[in-house]
Amino acid sequence: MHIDARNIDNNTLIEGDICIVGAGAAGISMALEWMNSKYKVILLEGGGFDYEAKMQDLYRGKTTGQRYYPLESARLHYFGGTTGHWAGFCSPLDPIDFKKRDWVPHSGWPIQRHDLDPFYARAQKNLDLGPYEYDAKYYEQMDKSLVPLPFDQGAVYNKMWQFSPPTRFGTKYRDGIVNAGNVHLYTYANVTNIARSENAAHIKEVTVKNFTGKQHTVRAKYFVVACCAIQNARLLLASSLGNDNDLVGRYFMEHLEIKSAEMWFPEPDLLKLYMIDFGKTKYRAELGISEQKQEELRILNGTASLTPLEIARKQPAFIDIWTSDKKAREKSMASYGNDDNPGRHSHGYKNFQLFTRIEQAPNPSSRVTLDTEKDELGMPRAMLHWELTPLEKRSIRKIYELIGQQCGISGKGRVRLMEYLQDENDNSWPEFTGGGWHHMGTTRMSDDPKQGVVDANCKVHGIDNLYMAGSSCYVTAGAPNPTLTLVALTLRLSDHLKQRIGSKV
Amino acid sequence: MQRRTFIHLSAYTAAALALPFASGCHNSRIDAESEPLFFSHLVDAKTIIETGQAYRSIKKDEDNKNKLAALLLTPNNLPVSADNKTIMSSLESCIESDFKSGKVVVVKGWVLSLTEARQCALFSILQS
Repeated sequence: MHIDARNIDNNTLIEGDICIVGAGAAGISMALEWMNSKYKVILLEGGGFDYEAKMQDLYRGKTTGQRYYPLESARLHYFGGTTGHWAGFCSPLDPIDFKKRDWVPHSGWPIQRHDLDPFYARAQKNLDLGPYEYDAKYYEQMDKSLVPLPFDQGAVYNKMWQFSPPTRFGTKYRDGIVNAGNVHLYTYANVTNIARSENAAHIKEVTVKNFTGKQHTVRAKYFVVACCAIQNARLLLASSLGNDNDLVGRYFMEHLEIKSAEMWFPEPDLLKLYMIDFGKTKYRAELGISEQKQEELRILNGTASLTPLEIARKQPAFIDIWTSDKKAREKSMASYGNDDNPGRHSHGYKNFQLFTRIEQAPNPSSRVTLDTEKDELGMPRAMLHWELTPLEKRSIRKIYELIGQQCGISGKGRVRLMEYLQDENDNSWPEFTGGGWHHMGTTRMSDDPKQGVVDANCKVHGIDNLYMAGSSCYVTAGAPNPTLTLVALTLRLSDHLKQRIGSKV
Repeated sequence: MQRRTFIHLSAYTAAALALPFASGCHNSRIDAESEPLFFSHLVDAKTIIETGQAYRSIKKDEDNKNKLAALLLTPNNLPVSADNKTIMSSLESCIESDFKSGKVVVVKGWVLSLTEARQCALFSILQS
């Protein structure tokens, strides 16, 4: 059922078994798992069902360090969350992403890829993806026109992506949630504080507020905070929770997404396996770097996507066009991926741009903190300091040297690095350096409370009934866009909670 | 760049930049040595010259026509009597071998085999 928190009596006490804070991909996925169960689920959404500039303003915050997008435009603050404008790129993290790598400081999850595999398979359905199949050979056998580049797969392999339609959670799951008898969706219910009970290791209640000036209290047995990585950290920091070891908000990670090189062929090639037609393509490959090569070169995990150079050259960098103005943003983004002369495709292309998507090394100095300025509901605003390290740049350079080497071995073509990568002693970044709007790592996972905010089940260390859901729990970012993994992690958390609550009932 | 362009440049002047190559028409042994065949199918002579100049500025100890010519031929143990076709074929094998063994250099951003980078360097000297 749906309740607009603006229309109920001030100081209403709301009670349930589970309280989910945030109704984006993680929060809604969690609610779906509990729909039509015997448990009363309180799902709190700060916004309504549509985009509102005033709600977005609650996400506004200062940024320092590496140039970044306006925070109020990087996440959507209404039912469905950022799935309201995501592009649908999905791929699981690689096994190496979960491992401790001695060349990547602060790497190593307390879970491994195989722990997530069953949940990835389930998450595929939430996101309207195909089978949980990410082996390029599967797709090459299905469609013989998908011809891979003739590279040594032990060095540069074809990492597959699947594309969600993209599923808009706010549209697809609204009726199901609203009509579920046991799920109580409150819109315009912004959580501004999480309060402990007298027993400091237990959460008693959360406070919700909205612009009418009303304030309500929500009590539950378990609380799941699923507000996105920046807001998750902001809420914990503002509530002075989970931060005994000064870790909340640290290790903020993005995916560096940046044009990096060109691949030149003597003869045109379609490279259909690697191409995307937005809204139509269901899967494609990017060039991935094998685990063995990552270890040998001591580099981060990243991929290269290919776009015909004549198309790519017309596309400005995201960081230059992604403004806080929604209309301007939508206009700028509309041309992406649309070749205005599809006839050119018939003969293929001789030149392709190689675009990097790479993990950021976990870095405690890259962090979310609280500003002294408060938002309209009285919450301190988030401040983001995005900081990269030389490892990211070195890794990108090595990736393209490796791809260039494979091009040479195969006799397929040659690769040219962009100017900013040519001097190996230069650790600066060009103006067009941007991220993928992927926020991760601010409540990182570790078995050790001194190394992470949450444990392997996403429970906040030292608090028995407070969980964080979403990409804030990531220890490393991998190369893929985070949505598939964050939904998988949420489903895993849901199973854990079912086990916990079941054992008590 | 087409091969005829390369030949004209080798033998005459940079005024012939736009002319296409005629395969196998090298005037001399050193012309054959200085043609990065595969690379010349991707880029124009100007780019090859600039790449060669950049390589020479990085590897100052190789900035010499005779030295580069010797470095290009030595790994192949080619006899002095080898014809141009044999030289070019041998250098192509050398390039493939370079890539396989990791003898790769980045010059003006291009990820090249050591052999073809030296070819570019030699070519740039011949054109200077």
